[in-house]
Amino acid sequence: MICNVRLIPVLATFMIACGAEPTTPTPTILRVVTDQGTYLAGGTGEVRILNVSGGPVSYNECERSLDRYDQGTWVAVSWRDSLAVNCVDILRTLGVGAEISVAFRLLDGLSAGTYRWRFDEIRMDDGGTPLPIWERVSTPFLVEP
Amino acid sequence: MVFPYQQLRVGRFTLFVASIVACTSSEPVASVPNNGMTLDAKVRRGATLHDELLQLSRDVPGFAAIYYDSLGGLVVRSTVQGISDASRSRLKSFLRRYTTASVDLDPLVAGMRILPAVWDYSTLAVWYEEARSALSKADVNSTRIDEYTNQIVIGVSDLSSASQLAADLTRRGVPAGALRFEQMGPAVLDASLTDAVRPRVGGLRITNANISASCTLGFKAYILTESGYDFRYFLTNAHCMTITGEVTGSLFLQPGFYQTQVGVEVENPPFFPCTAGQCRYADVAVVQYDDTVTHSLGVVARTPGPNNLLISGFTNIQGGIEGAIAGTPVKKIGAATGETSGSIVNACVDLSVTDRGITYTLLCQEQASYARGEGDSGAPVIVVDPRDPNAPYPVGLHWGHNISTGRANLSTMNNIHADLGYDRYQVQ
Repeated sequence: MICNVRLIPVLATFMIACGAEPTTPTPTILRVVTDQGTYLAGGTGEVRILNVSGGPVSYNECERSLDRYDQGTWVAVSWRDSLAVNCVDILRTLGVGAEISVAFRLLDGLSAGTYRWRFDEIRMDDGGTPLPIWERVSTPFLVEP
Repeated sequence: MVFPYQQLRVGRFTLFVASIVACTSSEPVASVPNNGMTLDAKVRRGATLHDELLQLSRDVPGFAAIYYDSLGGLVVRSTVQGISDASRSRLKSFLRRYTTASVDLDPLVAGMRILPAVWDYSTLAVWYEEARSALSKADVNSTRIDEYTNQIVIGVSDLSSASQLAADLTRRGVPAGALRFEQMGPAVLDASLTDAVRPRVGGLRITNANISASCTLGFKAYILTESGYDFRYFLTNAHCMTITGEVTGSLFLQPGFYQTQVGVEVENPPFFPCTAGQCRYADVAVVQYDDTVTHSLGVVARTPGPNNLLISGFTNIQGGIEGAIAGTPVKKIGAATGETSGSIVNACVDLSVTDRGITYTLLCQEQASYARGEGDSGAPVIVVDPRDPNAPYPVGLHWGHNISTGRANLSTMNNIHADLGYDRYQVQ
């Protein structure tokens, strides 16, 4: 059987939308998108976060995870060059219609597969209510060896 | 006659509060909890306690003050010796309005002590009006006629402003001997670290208006200039500025948007080359308070505990230490997670940080076990001396955390001075 790996992110998205996570709603607050659909392991990229809601949100982009799609579920994988990563404890505000870009570099030995970025510190601007996970994950992307 | 001491204290306090309420509001006060006192009928529009004492001064020659001493005895201070029957009667009618019905006033007034005063109440009242005008000044937070010392007492957030204020008032005819200044914190009711609090103290939320980011006000700082001490500064993190390592004049608000601008960034030391690339000793920058902003040297807000941002009090820090060795118990007061406790885990760690696409190394930082959160950047970290828990020492500024261990990262005072200059920006 011929398998076109470039279709994997599309299929993953389709699977998520249609079966694997049937209750996942459509984001209405943020658009979190990567600049490409496919990356090479060890490559660099950028993920953009756009506030499409009617109010500001608070965030700290340092607190993020890389999830790999594995047997119908998303599993966090190691993605940092070193575990000794230090984040600053600032709380930034993303205004209505504002966008930020977060640069990333994938590890050299990252397994091929479908991935997404998950931002763990994005909250409503009311002082702390975390946004639902579907609002703060990127569109899935493919990693090739 | 037995006067429960506590009742008297409450009564006196209630009178004082009532006079403040009446002096600061033209609206009638319906009722004041007063432990049996019946003040509600007396505190009415246009008739404050001050007004009544002023009238008493006109009716009773030489009258300067009236109060209970610590044993419940009545004391009247007067500029003249002796007191007439008419004056005693007038005092009794006054007291009737400020004493519970069960109190027999005859023996109370008969047994009162009359102590000398330099100035009568009417005279003090004229100077009091002059002093009241100072309330419009940013760092003056109270004025009163002190019945015990026969003086005008002016509460200021920073005693360094007292000499100028005294000079202004003496020029306007107020004798220097009639003035007393006392350092006084703000009147805070149910305020939290994220509220607008005056004067500004360590631990409060601040916002960089240029980059829409929230941090915590660290320690107030001062420098010695050719013309004297300049107290108009506070320390917070460099990464709270618009650019780390470069002065861009970031504007700071307290606590957040649509709130008061408190100051402008004036110092943010550049990185220096090092074997790790680019380095600094501390994540620190200096913000200069605007002239109209009140602030208190050496004062840090306290909260009841973790994730409770309600201000439970204020504490005055001491100078004398520059950091803490491993194992030292410390506390952090941050606008995101409040007051949290832990201990120094690592006393000197070089830490690589990537923020806003820039990677740098902070040399010889400390790591601690206290809880932290986003928005705590810049928070004061203190060490509490068990022999004097109300006078802690500054250890440094919290700035971040290690994502794998969860440990909090801070820059010590020693490192802050290494970046800013050892003889500059003292915090106490």
